[in-house]
Amino acid sequence: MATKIGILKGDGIGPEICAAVVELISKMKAPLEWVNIPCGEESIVTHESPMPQSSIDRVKELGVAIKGPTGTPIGAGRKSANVVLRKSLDLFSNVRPIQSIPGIETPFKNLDMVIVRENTEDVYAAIEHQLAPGVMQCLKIITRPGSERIARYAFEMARTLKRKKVTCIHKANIMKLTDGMFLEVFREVSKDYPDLEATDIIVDNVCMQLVQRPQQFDVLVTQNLYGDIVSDLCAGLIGGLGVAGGANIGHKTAVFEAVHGTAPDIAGKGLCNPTAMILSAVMMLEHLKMFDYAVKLRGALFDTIKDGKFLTGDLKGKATTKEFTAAISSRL
Amino acid sequence: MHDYQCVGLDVFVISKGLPKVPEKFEGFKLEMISQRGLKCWPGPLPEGMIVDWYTCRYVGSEITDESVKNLLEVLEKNIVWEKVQKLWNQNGKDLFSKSYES
Repeated sequence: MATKIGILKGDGIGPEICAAVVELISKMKAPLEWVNIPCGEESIVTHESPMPQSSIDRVKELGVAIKGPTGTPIGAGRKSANVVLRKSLDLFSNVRPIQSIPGIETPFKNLDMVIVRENTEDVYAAIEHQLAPGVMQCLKIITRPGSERIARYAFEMARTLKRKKVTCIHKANIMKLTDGMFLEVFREVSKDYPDLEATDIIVDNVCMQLVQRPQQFDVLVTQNLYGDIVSDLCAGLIGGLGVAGGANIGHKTAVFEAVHGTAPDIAGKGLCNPTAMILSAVMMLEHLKMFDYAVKLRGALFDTIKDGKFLTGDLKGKATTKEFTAAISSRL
Repeated sequence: MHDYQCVGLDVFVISKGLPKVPEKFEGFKLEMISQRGLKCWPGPLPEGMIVDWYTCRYVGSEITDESVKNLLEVLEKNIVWEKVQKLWNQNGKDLFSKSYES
């Protein structure tokens, strides 16, 4: 019996990269059945919200979904559909594997680390006020239970993946209460995992270390804002956001999504690179314990990139999205 | 500053479970209760982790320091309020964030 998976195609290039994933999963005959769930601009028209409650409820009911990017306006107006989904379903852990892809030229080779970003707290609670004309505040909310569950998730994941070290990123030297507690909880939790090395590093230092000697890191765990920035920095180390998959995991629900934006400049032109979405689909297959399909799909993707004959423009190739997808499909 | 007005209050409270606060009091109306930026009332409580810290957003017109004190006096009969933040509007533009909701 096929497992039902929600698919939220999103905006811009979202429908194109989702179509690539559907085509490849279908080629493998993986036992999945897609359930279309509206979000993004189409939902603003039909439901007056980019992430309507009915869509959140449907994702919750299915338990697993894959999602394309949705646009977020800067400045006043609607809040991010992504953040609404993550917070509403308490998808507290954002997992971003950073793995070098053979065939993509980058300054560092053989990178293999995972960033675990807390997904529901920090300044992303977005509690903002004007205090006086020209004086604004944004509250940084860090809680003990929120810190504990993300630290525990990182250690559990490290143990499952047979990794050796978990590093906590923080700025506890300046924010002694918020980041201080986050670090303190990390150290407490680490005592339950004596088989894993636990270290910590200040966020500005980790940024420098990552662009000088990234191989020293294994699993990195951090708060929402640092995680947002550091994970994009790390994506840059392996070729950019177009080749970095991601997942948002909660206790009951998981949503897998490409971490890049909607790329409106190339949307609908058949030029986008679906790699990030395909890697997110690989993570989803692993989550579903469909390991054979996951290995097969990742292998076909990496072989296609290494081969270099059918690459999209962002990877200095000339292939269309369909040609790139077809090249992967031919290897399945 | 004649176009700069206080149009509400965020009252941050400590409460085990959804705080029991009046939906209306004098010129104030309880617009919503949220937690860590996510709406908890009206409507169902959100999924997952809950902590003992909520934000009660009251809206109203002609808010004065006296009316704020009166509201807090009523609130503190049932809950511990931890902090109060006035919500400002300038030239029709709200200078505070909304909560996360669908």
